[in-house]
Amino acid sequence: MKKFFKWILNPRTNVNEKLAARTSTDGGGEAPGGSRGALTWRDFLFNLPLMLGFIIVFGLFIMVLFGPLIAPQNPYIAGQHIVPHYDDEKGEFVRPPLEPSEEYPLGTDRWGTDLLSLLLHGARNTLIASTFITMVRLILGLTLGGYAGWNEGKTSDKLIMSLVGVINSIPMLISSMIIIFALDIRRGLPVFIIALSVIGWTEIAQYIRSEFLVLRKMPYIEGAHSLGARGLHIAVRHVLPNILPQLLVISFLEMGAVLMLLGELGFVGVYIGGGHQIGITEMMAPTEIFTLAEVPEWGAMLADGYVWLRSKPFVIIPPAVAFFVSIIGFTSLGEGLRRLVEKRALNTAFLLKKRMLIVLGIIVFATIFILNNTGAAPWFSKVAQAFDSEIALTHIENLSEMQGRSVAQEGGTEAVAYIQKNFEEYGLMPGGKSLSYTYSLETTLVQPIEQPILALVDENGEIIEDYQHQLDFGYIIEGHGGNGDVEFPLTFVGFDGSEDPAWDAYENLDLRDRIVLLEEGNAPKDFATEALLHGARGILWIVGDGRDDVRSQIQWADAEETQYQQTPTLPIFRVRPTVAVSMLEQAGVTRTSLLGGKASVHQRGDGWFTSELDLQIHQSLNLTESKDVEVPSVLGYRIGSDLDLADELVVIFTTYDGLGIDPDGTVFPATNHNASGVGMMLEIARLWEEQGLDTRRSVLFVAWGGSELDKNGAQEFLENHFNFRHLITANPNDRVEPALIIQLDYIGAGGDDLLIHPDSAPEVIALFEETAEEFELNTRVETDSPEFSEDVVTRSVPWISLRWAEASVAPDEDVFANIEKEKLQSFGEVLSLALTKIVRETDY
Amino acid sequence: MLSFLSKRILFITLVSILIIFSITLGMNMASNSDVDEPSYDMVEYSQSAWKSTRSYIEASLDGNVGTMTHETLGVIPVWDLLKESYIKSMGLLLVSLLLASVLGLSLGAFAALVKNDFIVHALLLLTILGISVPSFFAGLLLQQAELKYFQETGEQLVKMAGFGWDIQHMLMPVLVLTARPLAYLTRASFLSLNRVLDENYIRTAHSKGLRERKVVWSHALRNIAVPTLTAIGVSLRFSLSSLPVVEFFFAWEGIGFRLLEAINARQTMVVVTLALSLGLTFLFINLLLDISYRLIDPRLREDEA
Repeated sequence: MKKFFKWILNPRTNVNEKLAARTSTDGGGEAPGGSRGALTWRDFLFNLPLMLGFIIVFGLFIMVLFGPLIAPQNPYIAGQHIVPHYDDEKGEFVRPPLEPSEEYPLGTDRWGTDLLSLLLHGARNTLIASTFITMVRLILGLTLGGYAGWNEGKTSDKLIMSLVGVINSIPMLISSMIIIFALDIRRGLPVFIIALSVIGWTEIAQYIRSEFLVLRKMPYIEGAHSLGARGLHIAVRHVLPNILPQLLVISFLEMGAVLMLLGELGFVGVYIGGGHQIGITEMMAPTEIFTLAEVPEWGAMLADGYVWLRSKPFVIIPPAVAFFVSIIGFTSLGEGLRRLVEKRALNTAFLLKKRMLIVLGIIVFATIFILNNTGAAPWFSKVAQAFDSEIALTHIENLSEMQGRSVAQEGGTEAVAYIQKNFEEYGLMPGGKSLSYTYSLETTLVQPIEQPILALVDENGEIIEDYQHQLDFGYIIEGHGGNGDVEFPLTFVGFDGSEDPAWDAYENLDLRDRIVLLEEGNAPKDFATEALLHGARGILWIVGDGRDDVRSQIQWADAEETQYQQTPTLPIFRVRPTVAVSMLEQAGVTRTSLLGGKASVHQRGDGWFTSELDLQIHQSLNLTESKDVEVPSVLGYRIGSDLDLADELVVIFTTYDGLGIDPDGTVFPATNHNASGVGMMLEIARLWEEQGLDTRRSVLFVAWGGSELDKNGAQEFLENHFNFRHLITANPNDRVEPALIIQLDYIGAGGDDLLIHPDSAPEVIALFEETAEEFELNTRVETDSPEFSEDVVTRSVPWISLRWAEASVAPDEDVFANIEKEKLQSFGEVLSLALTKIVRETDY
Repeated sequence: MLSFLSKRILFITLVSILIIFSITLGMNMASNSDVDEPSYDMVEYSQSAWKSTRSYIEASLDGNVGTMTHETLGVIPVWDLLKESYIKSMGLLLVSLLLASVLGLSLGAFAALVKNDFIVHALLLLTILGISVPSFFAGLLLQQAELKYFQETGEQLVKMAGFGWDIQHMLMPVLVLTARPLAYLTRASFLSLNRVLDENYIRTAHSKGLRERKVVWSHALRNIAVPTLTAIGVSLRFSLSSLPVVEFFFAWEGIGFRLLEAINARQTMVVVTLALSLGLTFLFINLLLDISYRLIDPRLREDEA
């Protein structure tokens, strides 16, 4: 260490030391400007200011590098830790700022944030800012002062010196304040660097100018001139080395001056970023409005502590002492160096040597490293990485064990209670009206009493082929769809006219004691009624292959309508194409030949024809009476802290319910769709609570009920602004409005790529793409299944919908065993980081 | 001397115009940057600033720079605000600089004359601490000390804040404002006297058999007059810079206090007027110093010729 220090200061010490040992008997007593001897240890050790300055500056350096690591708390993500409350144990009202105690060595600020942590984190911002300012001041002062000195008496010299006159005559605090406000304080650090440099270079320039005036007339400079060297060459090669020692001294003294100015600015309320306005609501008191600093910084701490200048001085003392001590450090280091320079010619030629390039390189890299690790971004990443897929997995497992969570059954009720309990535990406020966590959609439902049956049978009623409810077929209750237990031959009715036939075109149609097979898209939508009139006993619609195409209809989509289960009823089932194909195989025909009328046609009318199929079908459905129910959705609210942003509501939603349990005991666990979404949402809520993340925007977590119904409450709820009226913010005049809606689905398993719905808001797509890239996750902006487009609740507010690619599977395959933990983790980290940016940053 | 004076007056006039212009420009931009999407059309800003500079100069030559609306004082002429606050500030500044000069010079001279290594080192270290103490920290310490005293004894030694031309009100702000100039002047006078005492003419004077007092007073001190005056000029500059903070701290309604108010309220004309008055004060004091250099040091006069 000691060798290195000497080597840095003077590469020749090793040689000189030996010489010095022989020649110099006393280290101290020489006159200024005396013999140009070597540096000895005594010059360092007995130079009190140098030692003091060195120790302090070294300590500050360590603080800048490692301060945030030792800090007990992280002010970047901390919100209000300690809310004013009554402490039962102590029997007193606790209200931050808290006095220094064992838990908080220096006390806390008004948010309950530990002052020691603030100080340690703030060191980086404050000291790096002042280093930058000092550097720019030096460069400006050196060039302008040198230029003026070199061109003494010319116009440029006069111009520069009048500029110095103008700048010097306005108090620095005032002029820097004006420039900072002029350039907009909200732009942060660059504004401070510009303002404090523009007004601060004059002293250095004046000094450099006077040095240049003297040096210019030195014989060796004149010699260089006469040898034909050019101005710039002389300045760099011959003048600069001669003023380097003084420059070194000046830079440390300047650092102290910059810190002094930063402190004074902070004290009068001008600090980096300018802070943002925050309101504190307390019971029985008007909302108080405060300014909260964006980044921890000593100046900001001073501004904050000013409020308690007299009553609670412990808030302002730590930053004030920090400023005082660091100013002493830099000033006395400069002083000590000056003494060294005056006493002995401090050899600074090394500063211009090649090995300095290495040192310079190290400094540049260190700065880049620090800058990359300073500010909020790295802390956001840390929050994101604290995402625990294990906990999300536990939620998903618990939810998938709730008998499929149908809103009409026990499982749904159980799920609602489970989500609500967790919302409460994770510190979310009730998001529904009247302090309730739920919002109810009133609707009318029916349920199967017995297992719905669809089977292919022989003449004796023996089953040839059995089909599964919800997977292969589902029932419809619209129109005459309803109960019935029938076993009849199957007849296909096809349509080949250019238009749907008129009612009188069916005159000859005879469907008595038949089960009718229809192809969706081929048959008119209301043909079921027509078939009933012509004697049909059951109807099968061949529909598409999508997930929800054969889902049984249990909801009366509109209670006012009378189009449900009109008597007489007949069973109407929707079947998958695969079911139709397997039936038709038995009859020896194909779908295409049937449709084209190429199979044997038995009846023909104007635009329609029938083909009798030699198949016996058993169709059975037994439903409960219709019942009015309330389908609950669960809402948890996290209040935003920022006065300007709290009225912007970020809605994170998913659905919780599934197909439930069939009368025969078949359970559809609905794990990836959508226990995974709920698990993810709960884990995000837990994460934020655990990490103490201060959300500046308000957030509403919603688990919708009714994903398996044709009409759920999501759209109705989100589009009605009255549904947000009860959500309060710190500002009593604020009304929250949805600003961004995020939909989660299919996030526990699937392909390798993250799918983003192409109709999502472009800026939010960009944010998620960028975030996913940070975690090396591939994203695709497209829909890979028709359901993806149908699932999205489109509306006027910007929204985004996310899922894994190729995630859609049949309901019976969507089980917990298929959930992949890594998928949850990587999705969770991306989502958590992006969400943190969304709720924290002014512009995301 | 006359040509020197006229040159300097011209320079001061020029600088004043530039001060008015640049502060108007800065304040206009500041009022503009409060909106969400501020524009940065420098040409437009400069033109409008130049226009207001001209009208400001015309108005001030007429002796009327207009009225202002103050939060607590109501509508008053800017001139009245300036007069009142200027006197309050200059009183504070004058007392503290005077105190700093007297104390600083004596301390520095004392250290240089006793030549005791320990005293010298301790004093120099103390001056480093003194130069490094931010005014808000010094104010904080004094206020807390007063508070502790009050809690212990129930007696109020001095007033915590506020304006008044008595020792009760003035003591703390004056002490805070004195700290840095005092340290700086002590240091400067010690260093220059120390250097002068090593010069040959002092040795000559000693060897002539002159008494110590005579040597110091008429040979040494005369020769440190110029660097000391320069040091006072420098102290004035950082006193002026700290002035707003000290006044803000002690609620002393001087020019710095009013300036902070006006900047925060974005009252361009008030800021210009107050800042210009400080600028002119600074420039004229420097002019006075320059003139006195010439009176003290004959060599500077020859230079001019």
